[in-house]
Amino acid sequence: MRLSLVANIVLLLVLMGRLNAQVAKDNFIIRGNIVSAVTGQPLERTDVSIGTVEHLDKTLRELLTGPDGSFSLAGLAPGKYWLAAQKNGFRKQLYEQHGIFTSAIAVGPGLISDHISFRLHPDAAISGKITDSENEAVPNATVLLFRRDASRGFVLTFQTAQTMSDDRGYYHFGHLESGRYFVVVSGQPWYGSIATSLRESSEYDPVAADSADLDMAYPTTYYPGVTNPASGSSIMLHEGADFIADVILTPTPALRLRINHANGAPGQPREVTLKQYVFGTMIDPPTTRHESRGDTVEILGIPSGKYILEVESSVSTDKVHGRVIELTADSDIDANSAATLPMVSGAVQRDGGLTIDPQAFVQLWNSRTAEALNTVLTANGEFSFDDEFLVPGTYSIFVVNGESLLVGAISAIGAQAIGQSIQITGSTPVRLTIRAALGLAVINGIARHNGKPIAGAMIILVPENAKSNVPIFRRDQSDSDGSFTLRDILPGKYKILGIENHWDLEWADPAVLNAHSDKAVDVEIRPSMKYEITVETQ
Amino acid sequence: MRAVNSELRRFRSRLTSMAVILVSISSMGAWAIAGAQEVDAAQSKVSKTEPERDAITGTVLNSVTGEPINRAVVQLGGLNRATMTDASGHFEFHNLQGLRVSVTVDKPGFFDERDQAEVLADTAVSELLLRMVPAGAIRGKITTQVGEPIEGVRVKAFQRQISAGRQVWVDRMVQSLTDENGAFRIAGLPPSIYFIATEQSREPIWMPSAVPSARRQVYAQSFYPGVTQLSMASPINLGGGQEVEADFSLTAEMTYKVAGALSTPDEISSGVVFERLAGQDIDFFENVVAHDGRFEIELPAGSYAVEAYTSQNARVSTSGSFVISSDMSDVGILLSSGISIPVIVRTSSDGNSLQEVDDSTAHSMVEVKLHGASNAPSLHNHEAWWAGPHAHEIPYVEGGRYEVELNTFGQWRIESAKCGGVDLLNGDLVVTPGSTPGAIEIALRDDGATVIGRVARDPWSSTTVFLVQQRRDRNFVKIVRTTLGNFRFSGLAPGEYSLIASDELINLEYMNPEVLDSYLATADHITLQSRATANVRLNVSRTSR
Repeated sequence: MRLSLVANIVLLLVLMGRLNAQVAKDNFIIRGNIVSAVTGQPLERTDVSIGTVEHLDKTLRELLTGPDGSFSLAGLAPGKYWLAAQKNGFRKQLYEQHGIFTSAIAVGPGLISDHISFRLHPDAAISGKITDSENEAVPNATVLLFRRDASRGFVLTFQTAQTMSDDRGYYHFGHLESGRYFVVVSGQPWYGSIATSLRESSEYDPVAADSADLDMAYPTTYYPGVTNPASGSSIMLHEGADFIADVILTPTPALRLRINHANGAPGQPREVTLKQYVFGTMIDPPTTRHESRGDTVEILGIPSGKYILEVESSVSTDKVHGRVIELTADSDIDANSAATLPMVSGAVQRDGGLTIDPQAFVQLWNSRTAEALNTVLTANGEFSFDDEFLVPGTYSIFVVNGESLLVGAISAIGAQAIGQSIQITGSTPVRLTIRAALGLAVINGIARHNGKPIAGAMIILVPENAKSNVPIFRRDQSDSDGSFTLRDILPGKYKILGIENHWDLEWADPAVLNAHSDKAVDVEIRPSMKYEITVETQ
Repeated sequence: MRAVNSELRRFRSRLTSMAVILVSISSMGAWAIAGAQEVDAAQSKVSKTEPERDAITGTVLNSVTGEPINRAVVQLGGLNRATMTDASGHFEFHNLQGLRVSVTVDKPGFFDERDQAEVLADTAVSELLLRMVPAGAIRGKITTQVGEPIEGVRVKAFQRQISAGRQVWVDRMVQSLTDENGAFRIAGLPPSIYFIATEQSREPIWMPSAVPSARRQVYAQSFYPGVTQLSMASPINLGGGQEVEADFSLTAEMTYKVAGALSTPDEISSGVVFERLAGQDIDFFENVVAHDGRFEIELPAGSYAVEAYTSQNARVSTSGSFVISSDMSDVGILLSSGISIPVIVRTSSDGNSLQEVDDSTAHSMVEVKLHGASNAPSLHNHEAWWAGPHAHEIPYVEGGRYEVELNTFGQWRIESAKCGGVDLLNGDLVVTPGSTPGAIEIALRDDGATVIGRVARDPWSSTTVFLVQQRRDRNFVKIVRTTLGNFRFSGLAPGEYSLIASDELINLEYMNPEVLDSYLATADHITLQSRATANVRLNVSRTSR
């Protein structure tokens, strides 16, 4: 059973399964016990809740487990139920949860739902102290937590949490699942703003320069205290572990960047901003100060490092300019030297019209860098990425409309369209047309192992030319009766795979999948059809 | 050269503190400072031949431990110069031009010294001593009655402060959200007295039960050590640099379903708020939108005030309280415009008989404020104003005991102020919920007396002067600040008064007679006649608390 779409910003709830239409007495039961996934010990006083898969956000019943960790919910109508549990020290988890998937409990005649062993994973935590090289606490530093896993099809590093260090320099990330993490700190010495305000002043006298040693900045620092991401240590966090990750920041002389011709044409002021990528996530570097003098903008207090300079006009029709700069010393730069950035816009069309959800959005996703850019899809199906910094590369295109993914034939002007991706090479404007397909198909299936239904298997629908078709992959997790559902399937040729105990698989990598394809089933999907497919897992 | 004094700024609420001292560097090479306590610059031993004549040196110290503060930033404001102290707290500035500069010091986790006079008194002429007060912190753990941690509770600190001579409890606006261990920590607090409070729960708490219709539960606002009334809470006296632990547990309360109709003089324009009364405060509230005057709400048991605004933007509320102790399906709640007290002002000029004046004229002669007179601490100000310019009455007066503050303008002085049989100059106004009190009747005369005076102190320092008349229940107190050493009070009724010049008293609870008494012992006394002007010269009061 799937909980939400692949989209990493909005958690979209997908209605799964359908109630069995047959009228039956509401006398079925979900019974089992909760144990720690680490120790196997029963967990007493654990909050257990269930709800129907039709209403993922509505709790139907809730109770506390007894001293032996047992729970029993009787008087249930036939159907599929989600099962969740939480306890102090155990974040809220769904039964056999793997990312956005869980195994729903199927209840009804002939179905076994009274021997559920729910293994609850204890929370892990990462905490630590941020100090500077003078061994002083660094308060108010931004601490970013990144996680590296294959949940998005490839092994990628993406941000999962953010916090601030407190007055003693301490930070804490709780309720973490086990896995590989990175801690990244972005901050400014508390005295840095004093130095930049002095330096901004017209009376600043560099000869007197008592304050020279105040004009410092902390480069973006990776645990345990390095500025090169490749030298950063990943944290292998075990279930229930409390990992201490202290980070030392070393101040370096703050740099000044002077941008000439910042304003462009008279009466059309432009905004100049510095941004930085950390594992593909764009962040604002620690506070910098802008001082406009005529047509010149100065950014002060910059730590040395690699940045993206964006020059954006207040006139919306103007193009966004940008360039990558490596700052190692005070520098001057001409705003007009920044290259025009590709403007990507487009439209989603469908014969017979299209109902666009108010929350609908289009995502461009670079699987190599994990960069994801999102923009809204307007009611008439138009979208535009003109205010985003888009570096040349290959991007998969996801169109998320309400509870479904819109897919269809993609064509592009100014870029090359390959399957569900576009390749952006230059700075010419890109115009996309997405003809949303009519008649997406559905597969309802059963996962079996040695002929018996199996719960908790990963089901993957792999399109032809998988590499450029990541948006039309479909996945699910088999429920307690082995059943699964794959929706919004674009007609075409696919392979369907059932894989057990490999939830860390790079499921979008064709080479990886080939190793698991022995029992794959070839399917050719036609428009608007419903399929019943049995998959033998491996 | 002479000592120059300047008003000392206080930034007590800033965490990165700024202790501001004005230093004068003369072309003669000597410098001098002066503050609340004057330093004789003539004692300077710095000679004209000193090689580093344009230098300032000094040390920054922790006022509690006396230890030097390493890596504090000292700035010379006027010169745009800054430096950092070394491990011994020492700093130096060289090559200064002969200019007057302000010295400020910043360090995270420290505040400026409260009393600058001490800093200056200890300052050797060649060496500035800057003391900083370390910030304190209050931490703790919030648990259920069975000791399980509660995550996501908002914890706040209320600091005791003095506003216009009265004690008030001010939200420090630094919230801490409890973590998965129920732990909170509120840091960066200046030395003071605090109450620690948890906010009411925003979401109902689920009550363990397999029954589909289980009652929802909530937590009301609570105070350390686990009470909902501020009067029963334990204040925490936090010293500089101290970290105090305040663990407490919350009691979940079951909610009841209440549905019914509101009966109001006019249609209600917006939502309705139910506020549960806890002593002088409200420990739980819930908003609900009424449709055609009907509402449905879930609330814990207790006594509630219900309040709404009508389409005419008039406030309507229950006159008493509305008690919930069970599910209620069809209750009627009467909302009315509440108690308002008319104000009638009569004047007499040149000895003529009293004449009633219209409201706008009255507002230009006298202002009336009601201050809640309960001695119990409270988070909200029980105040009501006669706000003009045309208001005829003081609206929305809650039941309770009030001190009536009357201030006249110009030569007008209060001859009498009464409400019913109560003499408001000597006693408090008691408003009974649901009652209709009579008007406040004020008689003014234009024969007020005047006091003009001078404070014996260097004229650049502004001093606060208190004029006090001791009355039966509480003192009559008026305050002015000196301008170039001079001050003036007018519109005073004939009688005996005391005068105190003090900068310290303004930060104290001077409306409390017990606090004022020690100052009155050394005060100057004067007797005023009608239309007379008294001339006085005051010394700055040295009475300590």
